[in-house]
Amino acid sequence: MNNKNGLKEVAAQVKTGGAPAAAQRQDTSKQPYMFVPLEATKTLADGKPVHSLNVITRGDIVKEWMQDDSPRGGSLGAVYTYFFYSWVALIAVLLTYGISLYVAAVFAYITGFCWSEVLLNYAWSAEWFKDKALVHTA
Amino acid sequence: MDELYKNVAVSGTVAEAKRPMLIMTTRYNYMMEHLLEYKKMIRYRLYAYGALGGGALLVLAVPIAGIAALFFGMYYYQLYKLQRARTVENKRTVMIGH
Repeated sequence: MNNKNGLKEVAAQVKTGGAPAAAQRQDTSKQPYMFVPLEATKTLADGKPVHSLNVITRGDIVKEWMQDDSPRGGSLGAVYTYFFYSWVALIAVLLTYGISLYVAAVFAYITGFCWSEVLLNYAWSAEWFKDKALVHTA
Repeated sequence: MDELYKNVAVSGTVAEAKRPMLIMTTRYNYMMEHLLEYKKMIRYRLYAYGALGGGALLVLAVPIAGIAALFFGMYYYQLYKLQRARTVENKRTVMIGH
């Protein structure tokens, strides 16, 4: 035993009868590594200072990631908004199909556009966020 | 202060703390945690406006129902304000890596 071992490692060794405990595998999808340059004095290629850690408030996070004042801006709220629009447009296709094929075609275009926005916003506002690190106060 | 240590600051934490000072997670998990609170905020706002509107309509026609509706309107309005404080007006610190 050397001074590098913490209490947890020692306790695990006691439990396993002296054999060193197997290293715990960390699920990096739940706790990804975040590298923070502590002494960054240089600048990026475009002249901006290195800024890899953004310190903000929960309110700003919620407004930026969930609130849906402008759906085209892209957020999780836009997923809900465009999901609703796409179903409304699909129903409009079914209702206008027997009346005018051209009107139905316009609604079909809107349906496809809205559904593509659902997929895009979910990809960039939910799936992409699964591997992005975040630290918050307890 | 010595130029060599210009980025070093004095800080401390409570050694006996029963929970961590900082919690590391992912953006997705944090967002999903607070999405429920955000949805509650929207729901309570709908209840509050609905009940206040219903109360205004009913208060002269069916006073007992109107007063009950106004009570629930203000009740849900308080809950709506609470959820606002928990979500869009919250000042708790969050750090996100780029």
